[in-house]
Amino acid sequence: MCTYQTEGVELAGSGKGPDGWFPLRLASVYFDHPQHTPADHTLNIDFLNPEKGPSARVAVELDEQSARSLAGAILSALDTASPGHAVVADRR
Amino acid sequence: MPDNTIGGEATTETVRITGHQGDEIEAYLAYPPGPGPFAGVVVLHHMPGYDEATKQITEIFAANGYTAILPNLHWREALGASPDDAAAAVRAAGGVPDERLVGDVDGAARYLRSLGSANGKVGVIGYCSGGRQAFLAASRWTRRSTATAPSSLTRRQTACRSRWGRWSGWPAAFRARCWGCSAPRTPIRPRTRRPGSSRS
Repeated sequence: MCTYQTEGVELAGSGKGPDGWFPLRLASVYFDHPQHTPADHTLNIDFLNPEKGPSARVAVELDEQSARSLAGAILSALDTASPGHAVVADRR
Repeated sequence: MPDNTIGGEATTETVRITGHQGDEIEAYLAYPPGPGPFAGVVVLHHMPGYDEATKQITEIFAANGYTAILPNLHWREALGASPDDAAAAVRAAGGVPDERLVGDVDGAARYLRSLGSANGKVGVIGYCSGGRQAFLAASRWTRRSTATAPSSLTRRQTACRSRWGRWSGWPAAFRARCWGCSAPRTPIRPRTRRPGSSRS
């Protein structure tokens, strides 16, 4: 079903949308109907910069296993890096 | 000016209506041929937005003899944005406020009643998150003739199989268009765009 249940995460980093790179400020993570993926429901992530308007968005729609694999891969990659090496200077 | 006709029977156009607190918002209007009188239906889109699938549902109501209107509940946050970008912006902002939703549905109902073909009766229906919003809007209406029970497709496949039978008052074509379910579909007649018309 459609739901308003959304995990919001403040971000520091960049994303590449249709108009090129832009700074990311926020991610919305939720389980809902996809716009494109041929499935009834997917785990969706919107990487956003609300200051730059609705089109400043990088969107992904993942099936459950993909989402879990991605989450694990992110943590594994971070574990291989030295703490403190991925800090964005202009984080607000 | 109408945008297009549907199989020579229903006509659609994009209109502006006065919503909550006097805000002007976009809406998609579909109406049957003839002078009426017709009952009206306010159709509420789901969280993914004011999309083509919901416009088709609105058109099916018109093809079944109702004047139907689909207010763009995401109009304010994302003027001119694509439906999916608009939905993402609204989600990030916390969703459509309930009071604003009620005001927009009231505005859409007023618009329908103002039409010369109206018989004065207006119902509201929505699906997925629109189902909750339709129930909310109907519960705020005081006129008995307008307090039409909405559908709330909390789980669309289950809903299609177990609940549609009880909603026999709605057009069969609409019931069959619950996409993603195993119910038989009613073919949608191809739309014919008039030369030189625009479509949003």
